[in-house]
Amino acid sequence: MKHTKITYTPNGPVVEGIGGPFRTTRLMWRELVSARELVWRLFLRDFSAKYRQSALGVVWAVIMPLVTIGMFVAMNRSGIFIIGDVGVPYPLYAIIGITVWNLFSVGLVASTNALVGADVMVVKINFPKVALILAATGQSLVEFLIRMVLVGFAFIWYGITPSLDGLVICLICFVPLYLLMTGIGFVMSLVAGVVRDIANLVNIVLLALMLVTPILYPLKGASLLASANVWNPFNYLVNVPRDFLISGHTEYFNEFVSASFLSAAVFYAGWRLFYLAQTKIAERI
Amino acid sequence: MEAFLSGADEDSRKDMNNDTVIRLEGVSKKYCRTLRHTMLYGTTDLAKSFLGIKQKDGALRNGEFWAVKDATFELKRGETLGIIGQNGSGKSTLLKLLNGIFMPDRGKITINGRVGALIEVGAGFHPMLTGRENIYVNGAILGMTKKDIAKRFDEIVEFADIGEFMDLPVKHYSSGMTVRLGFSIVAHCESDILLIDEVLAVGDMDFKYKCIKKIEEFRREGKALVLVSHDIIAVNKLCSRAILLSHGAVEYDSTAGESIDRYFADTAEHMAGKMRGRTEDHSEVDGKTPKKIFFADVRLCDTARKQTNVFTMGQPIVVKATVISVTKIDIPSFGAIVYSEDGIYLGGFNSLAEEAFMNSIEEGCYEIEYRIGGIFLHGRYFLTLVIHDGTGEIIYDMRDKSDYFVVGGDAKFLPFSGYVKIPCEWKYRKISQEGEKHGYTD
Repeated sequence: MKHTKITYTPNGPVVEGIGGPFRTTRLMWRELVSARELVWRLFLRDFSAKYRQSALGVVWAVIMPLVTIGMFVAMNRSGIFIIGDVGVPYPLYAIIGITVWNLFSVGLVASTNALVGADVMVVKINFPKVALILAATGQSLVEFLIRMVLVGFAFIWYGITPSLDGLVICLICFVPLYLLMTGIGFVMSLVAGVVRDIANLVNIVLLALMLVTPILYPLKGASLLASANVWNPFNYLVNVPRDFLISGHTEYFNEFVSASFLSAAVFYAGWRLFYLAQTKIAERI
Repeated sequence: MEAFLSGADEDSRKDMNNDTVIRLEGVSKKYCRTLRHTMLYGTTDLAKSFLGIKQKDGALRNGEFWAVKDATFELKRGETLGIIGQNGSGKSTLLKLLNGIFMPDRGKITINGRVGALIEVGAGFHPMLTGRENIYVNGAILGMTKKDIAKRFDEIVEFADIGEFMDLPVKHYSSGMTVRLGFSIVAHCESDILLIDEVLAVGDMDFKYKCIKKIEEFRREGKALVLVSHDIIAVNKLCSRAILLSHGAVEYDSTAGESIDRYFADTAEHMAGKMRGRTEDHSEVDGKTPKKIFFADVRLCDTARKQTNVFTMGQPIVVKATVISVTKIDIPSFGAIVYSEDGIYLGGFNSLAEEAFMNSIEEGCYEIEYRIGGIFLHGRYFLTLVIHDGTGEIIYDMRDKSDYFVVGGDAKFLPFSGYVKIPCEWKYRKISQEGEKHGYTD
């Protein structure tokens, strides 16, 4: 890092030469750029440490969703839970849904715990904490890619060819979901730093969200759940990429665009709050 | 808010000349007394940050206290500053403020240069990764680029000197090895200002010596150094200037020698305060069984029999104990043990082993006096006094670390580190006129 004069004030650090409009945003950007190597190092560290003393290693990334889907398939077949026609074989539909959802849920859990998990470092070393959150979300990206391989196998197994244009659009469509997860993750990691209960709360809310959002089942007719899901951004953030992958088109593109704007706004707000509050958390953690 | 901040920055730019690397202006920092308050205020502060509500002018809320209070000082390039003070005087908090780990609640700190901090070495180590892998991760945490690390990798490995353990996961390292590796990484970061907090307390002598040499190297390179330490000897050796903190405030800011003298004077007062009210009733064992013989009173005096707990180096310490015996005791032994401030057993002696007092004693009140040679170096020491029987198995009475003494004096005579001055005698004579014969020439 180059030599700069910095002033620590009750309202945060002030870097010489950075002032004027969008000062905070430019400082945030500057911090992010300076932290890119650290993000990569922390990501590699967590990745290699996670699977080092594990016999199955990355295979765990596919075991968990397979178990969940297995339960839904079993419930469907035994008539406890009637899913109905989804246009493609149900396991394929479910694997795509849960893969997309896990990008959000795994990343959110990891980023919520990122600050607390590194508490000694946070209290003792001055470094850009944003790197901890981004490195944590990196874990969910890796698992996501591994699960996408599983999705690929599912397509081959059922002899279905995905829409190629759809595949490209589908991958782009994950960006808003990633931004939303990271934005919420920024805020949750701060709150977890002060009140540890939040980690449990996040798990419960994620489970509830997974069940009320049409991820493992399609919405039917005019139910209460269906009308509630009109306002659920996850409905669009998960289902639109899936629609693109399976059929190459979607009915909900406008809603998806609105949800994407919302995600971008949450990401920016969360990041900004994180940037401004990170030094306040260091003394509370 | 942003306009206000950039204005403040301009002011400091004008005042701060180029040689000043650290400047504190009325810096205060508050902490919460309880975890409940930490959670409460943490949540409200976060909510305020989120809503963009500016925090009030750092006034104390219920359950808070000032950990650092109104600190103002400057540090120039090439200067070495020690920060000393009792436990809890705010030394480490001040260092964390300088490092930017958290912001002051009042005042401002201007840092002009790159800061390297040895606050807790190995804090970013991942236990599952090898030492080698951790060098890269820790280096990145400390702000080194991959190129920096690659360039200095061999130096880091060589300085840490942990040999084949480099490829072992760090969780199998001893604490000494962790410190070696951690220090080595930080020491090889490019920095203009080095902050050091007590890290020299760990590690073996050999490594400690290496660290001190490295720190002296920094100093010679004209880098600024801030050292927080309980090790007064280290502060005296490494620092030209020292700040004495008391209850978070700068009590004294002068040359290292003068600040250390002041610290010792404070220490004696502080310990007297702590010991007051600790007078135990020594007449009963566990509060029930009456003791056969016990200490009624103990005083420390100088050789002129004046009661004191403060001695200068070389001055003998006279222990005067009033002992009451309620029955006949067959050859009691009076003993003493000296501990350093950090609880290290330095040694002891007793009257029996020295054959100083070989009589039985009858019922009555006695005064026992003995003199401890002035062998102690600067520091604080605790005394444990015991009366036991000839075998040492029966302890009649014990005052466990109830007495203390402080050795101070002119800090410029602080030549040694350690606890005691080992007596030695010197002889000098010329054995030959011709130096060349022994292979030595000009």
